[in-house]
Amino acid sequence: MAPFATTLSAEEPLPPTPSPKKGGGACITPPPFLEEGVGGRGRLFFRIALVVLALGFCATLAPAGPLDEMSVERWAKLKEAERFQLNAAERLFRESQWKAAADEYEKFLKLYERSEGAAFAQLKWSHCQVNLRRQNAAIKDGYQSLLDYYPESPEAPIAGLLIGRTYRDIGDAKPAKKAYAKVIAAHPKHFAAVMSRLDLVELAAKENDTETYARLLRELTYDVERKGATTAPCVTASQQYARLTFRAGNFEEGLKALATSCSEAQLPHHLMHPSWGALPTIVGELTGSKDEPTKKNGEKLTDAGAAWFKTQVTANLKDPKTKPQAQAAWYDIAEIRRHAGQTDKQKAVYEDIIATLGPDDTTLGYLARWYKVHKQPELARTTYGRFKDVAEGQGQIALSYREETPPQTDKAVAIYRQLAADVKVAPRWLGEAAMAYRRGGKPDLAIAVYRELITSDAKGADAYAIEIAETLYQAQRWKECIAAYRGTNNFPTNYLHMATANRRLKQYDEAIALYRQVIAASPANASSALLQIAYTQEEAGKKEDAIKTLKQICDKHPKTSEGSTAHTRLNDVYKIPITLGGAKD
Amino acid sequence: MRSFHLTPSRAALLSGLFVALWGGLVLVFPDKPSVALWDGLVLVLPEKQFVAFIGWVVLYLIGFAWGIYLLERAAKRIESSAVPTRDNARPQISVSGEAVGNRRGAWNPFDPDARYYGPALGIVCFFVCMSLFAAAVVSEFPNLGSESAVFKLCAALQPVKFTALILATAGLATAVARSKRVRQSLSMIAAYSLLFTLVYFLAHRRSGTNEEEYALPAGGGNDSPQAMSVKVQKVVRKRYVINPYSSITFAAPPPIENIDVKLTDETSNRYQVGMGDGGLGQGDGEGGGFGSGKDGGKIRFIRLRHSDKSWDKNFGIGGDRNLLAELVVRFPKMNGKVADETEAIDFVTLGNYKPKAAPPVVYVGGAGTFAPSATDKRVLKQYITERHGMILGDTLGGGAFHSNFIAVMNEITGTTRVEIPRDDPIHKRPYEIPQLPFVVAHGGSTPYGWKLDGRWVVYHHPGALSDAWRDDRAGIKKVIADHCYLLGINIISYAHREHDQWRRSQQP
Repeated sequence: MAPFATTLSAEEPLPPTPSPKKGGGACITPPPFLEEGVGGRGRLFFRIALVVLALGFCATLAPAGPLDEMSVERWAKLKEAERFQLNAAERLFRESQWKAAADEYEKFLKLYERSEGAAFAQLKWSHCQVNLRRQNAAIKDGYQSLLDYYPESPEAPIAGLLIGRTYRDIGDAKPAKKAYAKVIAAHPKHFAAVMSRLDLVELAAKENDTETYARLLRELTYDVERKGATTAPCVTASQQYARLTFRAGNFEEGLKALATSCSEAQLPHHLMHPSWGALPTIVGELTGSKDEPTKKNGEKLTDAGAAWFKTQVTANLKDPKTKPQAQAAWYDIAEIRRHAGQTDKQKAVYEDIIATLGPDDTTLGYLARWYKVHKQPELARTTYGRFKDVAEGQGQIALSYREETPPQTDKAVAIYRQLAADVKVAPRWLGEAAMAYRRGGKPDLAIAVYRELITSDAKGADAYAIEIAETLYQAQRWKECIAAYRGTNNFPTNYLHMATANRRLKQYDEAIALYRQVIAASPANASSALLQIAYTQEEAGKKEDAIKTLKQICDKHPKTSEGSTAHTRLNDVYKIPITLGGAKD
Repeated sequence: MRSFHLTPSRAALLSGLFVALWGGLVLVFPDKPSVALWDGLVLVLPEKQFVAFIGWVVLYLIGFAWGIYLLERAAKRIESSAVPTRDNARPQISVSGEAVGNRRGAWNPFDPDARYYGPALGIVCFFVCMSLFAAAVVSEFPNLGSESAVFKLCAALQPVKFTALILATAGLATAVARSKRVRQSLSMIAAYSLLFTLVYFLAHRRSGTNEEEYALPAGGGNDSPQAMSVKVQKVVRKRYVINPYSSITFAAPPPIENIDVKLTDETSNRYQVGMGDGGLGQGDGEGGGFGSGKDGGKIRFIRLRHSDKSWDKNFGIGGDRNLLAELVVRFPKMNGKVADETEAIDFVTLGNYKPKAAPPVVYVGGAGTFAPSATDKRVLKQYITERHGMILGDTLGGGAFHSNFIAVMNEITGTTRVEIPRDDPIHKRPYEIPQLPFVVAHGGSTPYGWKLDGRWVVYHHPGALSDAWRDDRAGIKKVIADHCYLLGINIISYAHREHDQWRRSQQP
């Protein structure tokens, strides 16, 4: 993982490396008007506008944090030549040309050792080394050099943090902990110290050190001052701490932890969110356990959670303006009961809502879904029949007919036909009708509906043509599907399906010709198409050709999964050890 | 034509002949399966172990036949001696070979009427043996408390698990049998089987102790980076054209110190105090080798035998043996200090190594699966944690081996894998390998490792490393195959150096 990921969680999978290519590095681009001393006013405004647009774009894409950016004020302090050199390096960094970028940063360091940007260049050089998987060089020659030569620079605490993080990423837990401890001791209030604590949480989780894990999370939740960049890691920690306490059956403590990171109004949403409070998921885990004490903890948590949401319902019902919040809290109670396996109580909640607030489509929808899950389709349909939005209710009734075993296609289609009487929404319902026919094993009727749609809804003609071809493909009517695919434009899927159809018809040469066209036009699919050629040759009994093709895959695509398959097939099926191939990472 | 009668003396002679023949065959057959040409015929010779095993099976059957014969004879003799000699006594009718009698049993085991051929002995045997079997089965579930003394005791019963099950079955059969003869026969079979098993284990027990030893070669090599390529710079020397008739005389030619050799960094290996005089290794001895090594010790390449059918792919001649040969070619001073042949061991043997003399590295290759039992995993865990070993994993095919191996290593190391840096010492010494070479990327193109206390305990190569060590090098380019050899040497060197350091630190 690259060292500039800003948030980490011990329980969640690590977030993907925020590639500077997607904008991480773009955010630190200095405003271009700083690059040129004098210029036309119009050109200047144009450039400013471009910068604003670029920054806006970055803000939407890039999670670039304080780990790899230099402030605009510091950019402004750079001399023109320094800025030029640093920009050149930054451009290469953004393009993920790590080797070239590292050389440019190194050049900057040699030329402008005392520049304001030198520490930053050293930091980015180290990032390049990490991306080149030269983590030892990054630590010793990069981050450590930064600490030695620029100990007072704003990058110094970051370098300390990244030493720890890089050690952690190469499996050296002890030096990582040492580095984190140094950062915490030297810069206790800095963002890097907070991140160090969060990383230590992750290490504690990995080492099953529950005591340290809980202590660090508690500190980050309650004790660390949240200001600027330190807020985000503390929020993450509070959510982790909440989940930890929920798992122990302690609802109140978890709620308290979550309340440190959001307003009271947002609390229900934070509780129910699968990645934040994750209350329903944890309730499900605990109540589903075979261990009796764990199960009891789960039931305790369920009751405590439901009771808290009930207080929210009661409080919000008093004011008509907050009625939607009350209803949402009710749904949350039902959701918690569902995860706890208390389905009767879940149903009782829906009935309670209807009795108190009267029937509305959302609650009726929940209730009908409950009936469907509990194999009572007739009651579900009756409930859908009570929808105020009649069309939606009828659509759901039709869907329930389709979901039955065996599907009652004709009943469903009859409803869809009725709904299609409204010309504005006809394509949607006719599409559903065609799909119902397809699922019900009536491809001819489905195709007839799609043909009807082609004439009535010309805009979607291409999509309907593809659906006709897909219907024939699924129905294994190979000749017709080849003809149908010829009229479609969803390359390369259409070609691959045509090739498969030809193989089923034992027209191997035609299939191979189609695969070759895919190889020529779509290099991304080349290896898989080549493998399919080999399989086709095997089916045609041309084993020698198949072996040649398999060797070709090994030779040309040794880094792909198809290369692996071809190698294994040559070894296992043909007992050929000489497979060709070979590459370097 | 006279028919052949198998008299006891002839049977004894044949049994003796079999034993002699078996012993001879075990000596003649090779250690590994091989192909021989004989008079135009291609013969596939099985390995020595296989011949030995078949011999033991036949020996058991011969012993079994002798046991039955002698038991029957002795029982008949005893029963006939117990028949009343009075003329007016009622005749005794034999049922299923068993003489009906109401005499009190004796203690003679050949006597079917012996006191202990009742159901009690069988029941006791059944319960005892079944308990042993159950305890051994329980020890396969480490989550029941692998650290407790009881659990360790149960784990110790693993080798006799199936013997206990067989004896329990025999005990149960003895208990439920109604005929004394049957009880006697079953008891004797059980006793004979037990005795035979004991003899078998005694015969396979090594003299003195059953612990294996991996001795490192003694010496004092070094692991300074080896030059991959030497940049030669021409040194332009000043040439003096000397006129012998000139009045100018030269006192001496230019001193040698003034000649600038101009070596590049890659070739400037400097001597350090205490460093040996070359070859692979570390220490202050003579030649290549290790400080903790012993005379006669050798660098060996050992692979682990496991349940996957591809465990032995690229094993032996024409395969991983080439790596050992390459090691000697690249480090001529290691000649005689590197084993001639590669070896294969099973989990039990790996567990039997002396605690401070286990192999530094064990190779695990496979294509389909990697599914060691709970006991096997304990052996692997003990090997890497307590015995400072290292595992070199190699994914040889596109099956589930790759994911299985990762899961097992996560379990036994208690940590998760990390990418091995390109500039890690394992990729730098003795050879600099800036990029991972592989044959085909079965499991991606990044090497992963598991690190404990700052040491790589597992190196996982994702792309058929040992395929490149074969004679045919799987048809890949020579330069990549060469790098695969260098990587193999680096891993061997790393593991041996780490083990040497550890061994020295363990010395009193």
